[in-house]
Amino acid sequence: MSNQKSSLTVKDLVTIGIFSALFLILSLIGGAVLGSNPVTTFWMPLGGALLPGPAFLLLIAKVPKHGPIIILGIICAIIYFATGMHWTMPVAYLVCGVLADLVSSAGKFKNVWLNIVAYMIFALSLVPTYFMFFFARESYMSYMLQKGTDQEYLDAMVKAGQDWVLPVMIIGTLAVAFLSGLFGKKLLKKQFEKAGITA
Amino acid sequence: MKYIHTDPRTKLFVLLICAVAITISPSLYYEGGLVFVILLYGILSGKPKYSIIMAIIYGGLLGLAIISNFYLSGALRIMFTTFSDFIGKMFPCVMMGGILVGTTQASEFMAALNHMHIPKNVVVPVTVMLRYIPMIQEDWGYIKDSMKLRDVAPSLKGLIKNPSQTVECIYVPLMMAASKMADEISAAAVTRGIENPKPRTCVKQIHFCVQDIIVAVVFVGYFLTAFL
Repeated sequence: MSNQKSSLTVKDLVTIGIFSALFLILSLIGGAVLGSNPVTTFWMPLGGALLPGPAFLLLIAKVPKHGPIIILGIICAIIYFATGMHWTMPVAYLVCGVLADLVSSAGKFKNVWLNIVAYMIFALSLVPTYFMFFFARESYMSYMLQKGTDQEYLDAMVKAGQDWVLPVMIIGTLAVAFLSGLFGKKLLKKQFEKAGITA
Repeated sequence: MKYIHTDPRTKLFVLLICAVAITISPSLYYEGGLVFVILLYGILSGKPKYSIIMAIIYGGLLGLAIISNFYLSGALRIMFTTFSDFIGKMFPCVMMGGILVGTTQASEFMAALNHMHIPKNVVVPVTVMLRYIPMIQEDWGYIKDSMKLRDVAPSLKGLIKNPSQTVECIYVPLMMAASKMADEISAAAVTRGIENPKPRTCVKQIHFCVQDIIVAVVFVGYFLTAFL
């Protein structure tokens, strides 16, 4: 990361900014459809992972250096923090951004399969918010009871959040992210490389 | 009426306070009060229409939550209350974020971030992103029109009938436009001397004044009432 400052040009920075905007919009569209409905709220990470794969891959293809994924993670963290998400989500974006950058750099940012894996890791950053529900359930419940929510409500919420949901959520997110990445790879090959807009 | 003008750094600080206040919020009424304070701030800083509309939407959500809590039971009630709870948690910050973006110019925002000594690698992408998000919406309108011309329906029906073609017809122009825009903006930015290593100056002087202190004190004061 020490050479990061010298190697990113202004053009790279602008490209990162524009593709982050695209990435955020696409993941919000997918996530908001599922996330705003309480019954499907546990499937929100899947929706969030569905659309932005091609944008992510094209960003790496355009800026094949250390940095873009980390900066994308920082931007997502800022935006999600600013929209009042639980604090685990921005932290997860920072950590996953660094991890994804490392994975992608293992293939010198040119290996499409490693880039897809990087995208899968990045997509996982939507999951940890739900850890709080599963692992800190007791304190969460007593907190809600104190606030005056009745027992019937909490029982139903627990019913919707069975223990099997968490592993399924993680695996599902990985699978959806993989499909999105595959689609992005196809698009890159068919359209963008021919048009000559990849670096 | 002259609108009060606050420093972008104050707005960021208020946003931070809102995000923390929501996580520790003791009750629904506390959140409602926070939205009310933001509404006042929005009206005073020159976004009255936006703030009032947002506040009315929030009031509707709150009403929905209270009514369904009294009159519905079982699954329906859970659906409505969790829905309004979920939106209600995000709402104050989204509202404040909208006011921040709506009342701050890009150059002013960039100057403020530079004053805070945030590295250029973050400042430039964030500024570009905030400017580009509204343009995506514009692009999407054009893409929809041209898709109709070429007889590819940009709707759910078209998506089911002809999935891969429809999806491709959305993604390819969207990303082509994005990458062309990146080239153009970076050329413009370089022309205006963004690569200059000296610190940037800004036509609009940004500094803290009395109103910044008042706004900050009001929000911090409201934040502290959570502990009473």
